[in-house]
Amino acid sequence: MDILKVENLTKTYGKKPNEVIALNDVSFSIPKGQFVAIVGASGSGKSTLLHLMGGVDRPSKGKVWIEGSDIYQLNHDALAIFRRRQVGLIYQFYNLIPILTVKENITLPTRLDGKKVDESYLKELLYILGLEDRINHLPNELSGGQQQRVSIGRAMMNRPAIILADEPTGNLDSKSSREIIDLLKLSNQKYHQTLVVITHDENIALEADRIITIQDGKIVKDEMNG
Amino acid sequence: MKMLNEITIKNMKKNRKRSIVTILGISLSVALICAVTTFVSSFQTSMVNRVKAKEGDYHMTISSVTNEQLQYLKENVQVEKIGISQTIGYAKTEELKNEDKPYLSIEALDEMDIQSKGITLTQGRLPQNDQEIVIPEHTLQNGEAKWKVGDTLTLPVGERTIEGENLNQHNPYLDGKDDDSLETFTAKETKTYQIVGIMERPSFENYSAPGYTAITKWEKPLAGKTTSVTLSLKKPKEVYSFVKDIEKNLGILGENIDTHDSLLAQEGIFKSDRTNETIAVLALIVIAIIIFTSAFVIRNSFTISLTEKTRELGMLASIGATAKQIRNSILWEGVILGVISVPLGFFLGILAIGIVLMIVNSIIQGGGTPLVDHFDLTLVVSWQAIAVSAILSAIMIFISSLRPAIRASKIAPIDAIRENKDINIKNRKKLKTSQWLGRIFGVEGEIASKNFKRSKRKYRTTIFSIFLSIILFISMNSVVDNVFGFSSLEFQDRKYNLTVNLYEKTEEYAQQLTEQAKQTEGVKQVALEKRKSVIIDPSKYYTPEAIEQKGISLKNYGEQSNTVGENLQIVSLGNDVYQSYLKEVGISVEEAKGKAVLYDTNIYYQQEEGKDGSKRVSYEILNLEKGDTMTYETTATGEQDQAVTTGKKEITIAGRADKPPMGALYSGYNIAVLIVSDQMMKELGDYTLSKMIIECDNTAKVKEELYKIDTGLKEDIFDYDEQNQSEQSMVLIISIFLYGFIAVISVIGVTNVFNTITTNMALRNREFAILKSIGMTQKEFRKMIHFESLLYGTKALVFGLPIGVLLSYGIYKVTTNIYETPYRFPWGPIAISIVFVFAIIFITMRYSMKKTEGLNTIDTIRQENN
Ligand SMILES: Nc1ncnc2c1ncn2[C@@H]1O[C@H](COP(=O)(O)OP(=O)(O)OP(=O)(O)O)[C@@H](O)[C@H]1O
Ligand SMILES: [Mg+2]
Repeated sequence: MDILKVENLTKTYGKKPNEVIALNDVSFSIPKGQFVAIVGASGSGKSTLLHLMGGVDRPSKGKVWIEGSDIYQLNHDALAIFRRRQVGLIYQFYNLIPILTVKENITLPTRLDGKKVDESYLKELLYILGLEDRINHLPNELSGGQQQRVSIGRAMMNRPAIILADEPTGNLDSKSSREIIDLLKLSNQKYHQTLVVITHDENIALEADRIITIQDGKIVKDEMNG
Repeated sequence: MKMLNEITIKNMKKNRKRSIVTILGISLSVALICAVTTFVSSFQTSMVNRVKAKEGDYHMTISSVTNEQLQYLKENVQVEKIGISQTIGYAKTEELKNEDKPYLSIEALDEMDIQSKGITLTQGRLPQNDQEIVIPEHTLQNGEAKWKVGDTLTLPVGERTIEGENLNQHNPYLDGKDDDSLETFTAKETKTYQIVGIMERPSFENYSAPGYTAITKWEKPLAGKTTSVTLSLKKPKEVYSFVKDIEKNLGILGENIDTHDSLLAQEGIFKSDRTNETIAVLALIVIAIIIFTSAFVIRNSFTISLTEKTRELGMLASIGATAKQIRNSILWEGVILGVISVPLGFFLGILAIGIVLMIVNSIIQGGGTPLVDHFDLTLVVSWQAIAVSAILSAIMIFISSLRPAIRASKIAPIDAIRENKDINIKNRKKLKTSQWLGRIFGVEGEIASKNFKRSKRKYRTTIFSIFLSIILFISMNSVVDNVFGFSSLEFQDRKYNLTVNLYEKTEEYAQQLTEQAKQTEGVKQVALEKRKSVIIDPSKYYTPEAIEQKGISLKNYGEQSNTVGENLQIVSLGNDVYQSYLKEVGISVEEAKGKAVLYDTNIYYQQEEGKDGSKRVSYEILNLEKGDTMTYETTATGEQDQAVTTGKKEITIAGRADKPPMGALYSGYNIAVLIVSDQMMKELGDYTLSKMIIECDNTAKVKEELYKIDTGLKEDIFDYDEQNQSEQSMVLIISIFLYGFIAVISVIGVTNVFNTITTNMALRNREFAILKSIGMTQKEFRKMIHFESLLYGTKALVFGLPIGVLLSYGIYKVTTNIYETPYRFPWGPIAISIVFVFAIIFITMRYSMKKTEGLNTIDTIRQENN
């Protein structure tokens, strides 16, 4: 069964003469549990696609279906609840809440959902992310990589059905990158989570089940790995 | 340099919201000063013009001036203008039918004097030579003369004497009736005048004057006639010292000098230094509060974007801009902001007042006869005040805009970029939000309160602006309250306007009249006042102040003495009025049942050593409080016409009232009154019908209706509207002024709060978008915002109320110098502040929330600055 389906998705910016087509009539679907890598040149429309899949942007045309529901037909609140339960979004530029500490940022989606924080899972996450001695720090006291790791933790805390990651290892050294990817993969296998990762790192792309290549807002290649 | 300036302008355009807020903030502050000063100067000018038109435009009159004195005054450098008049004398004529006013009093006035005295023609023209005359219109009305313009009068002119003494306009007509002696009129010459005009009754003619003032032109000095002058000084401030000077230097008697006190008071000059001082201090406080507020409004409008600005400057610094370059670019920005917002502020402030004055004018002038005579509100802009506010704004803009530069230059560029200084991490450990907060408001509440504690600056700015509005409102209210309390002593704000005397009338008759009055259109309230006079023992029930004031010797009282005691009035007013009075003074019907409400606010004038003028002090006569019981005696007239007591009774006090009951003019009379219900009055027995008191729109109509029942009532009716038109006008003017003032202040306060909150919210759009993107629902978001509103409001009130009260107490203290009443705690303004603060915060927050709700999440996140 496809957990995620994208249909004729188009996103344009600006008005006619200066119009930028960031995403141009893209369609594909992802079955549950798949690990997909999205690659492409800078400015090709990867982040735009990811944001649309995560329900944080609005398409100019087309639809996004997650677990059978057309997410852009949902009302504001339903979409918000859907996001915090089903989708873990890791931004290219972290987007942490500046006034909340590491722990507070990570547990925010869980707590917004009114659920109890699974302390042992949190501990485990913090350990894997290498943040256990930074629990009470604020984002502006962290390095770029550390901030990125916090945003990964935040996306994973609720064990969402889908994790959408925009260059999650863009700021990390190879060892840390390795650990993060292992974490994502482990989570992908253990909880049967669907994983969509944008990456410029060929090694990571090669570990995915499937690689989608984007160029000028269009899918130019969509192939299964190995 | 050039390039940086361009960047600055680009930045301002890009951060349009922020620029607009800053411009609005500066404009508001300029508008505040501009509006207040324009309002005050417009009112003052109109009041001065009103007095000039009604009473004449001069600073003093001096009578019985000799030629040498006149010469000296004419040459005096302090004198601006001088008008000369001479009294020709009295003319007796059969044409005048008024028994108390059988004369024309003929005065010759020179051109300047005619102008100064505010002679207002109703017909014809002014006299152009000493053969022409203008007569007042009341010669035709209560004088019943048949004169008209163009008539020629030939009159015997002479003087009035009694026992060889000359009499003047200040001596009423002595007609020999009653025990008066009879004055003599001696004709000295015969004069012929042509009537060329008719004028309004000149204000300098007092009501008891025996002659109607007629005015002819003064052409040359006339021998043997007394000369008077009206004069104005170049500097009105010097009037009272000038009076002392001429008394000393010219030997002019003090009684011959009459300063135009009402005009001088309107110009802000008072006879008593004490009043002068008080008004100066009060004005100083008001000015200080307004300047302080407006300075902080400007500072605030910069502070709100301080973080963003610092970051921007850090960015500039990081790519190599020098401190000097940065400073220059900031000054450049300040200049642009000032050039746009200062004129805008003037415009807004003057526009606002223009509109207010227009509305007030249309209310006053609307519907035929003006509510207030001779009162035309015109917009008068005080350019000095505008210059001061422009300079002040420039300084504030300069200081405020340099702040981010100084901040940015003190920290490393990267810290500025990362906003390290603005997110407070010191109290990280202590930040355990209390349990109940968590329980009531959940995570949303927690985020809100963390934001509140860790992102202090922006919160402080918002809270500060609410805080300023609160203290501005409370303290200005207190100024108004004190000024009003002060002026309402002079002009009692009487609610009723018609009374009908009912002594010696039967109760059925009174009842019938009351019903008739109640049914008349435009009647709001009718009270039927019954009175009972009782005697109490002052040694038991009088306060020490009352004993001193009334000069009572306590030796006369006590068990052995047979002196009866002091008088006390018990009144009842009819059921309706009684009920509404209870409501007004906050005593419930149950509390008052079988008891009496005590109104007991009295004034005496106290002279103090070393200070001129007297101070009004309020005091209470009875030492009774709620629940106290008092023994009284009733009296009857005994056989030998002396009072004999007819027994002792008791009465209990239901409470003290701070407002007089309808129909009471007691405060001036220094007596205490007990107010009871009709039923209780019946039970007490032995009362007298006193009067019917009516509050209505149109007294003429009510009188007409009442005459239908009994034409004989003419003697018993007293029409306050007729009597006190000018007094009522004053109350109206003062109310309009004071409430207008409060309205202006409130509008500016509200706008400021609105401005600050919407900006703060707009600057946090990105943060909100992130929260939403990780799944915060609209409902939760609202909850968070509501909780924040609650925090804002509470915090601002916690600081604002005590300081506002403190200021109000200070203002009260200043006014007690001339006028002493017990301090009235500003409960009203406090309640209004609380309600308004929360209402405004919630409405504003909702408004800005609505705006963020429409935004595209990812677009907002991507726009780092907006
Ligand atoms: N708000 C916007 N307004 C106008 N154009 C935009 C906007 N956001 C993105 N674009 C354009 O859309 C295109 C796709 O942008 P997107 O961020 O999706 O690229 P990307 O593939 O993620 O690039 P990178 O690998 O550099 O992150 C780009 O050409 C970008 O300039
Ligand atoms: Mg991208």
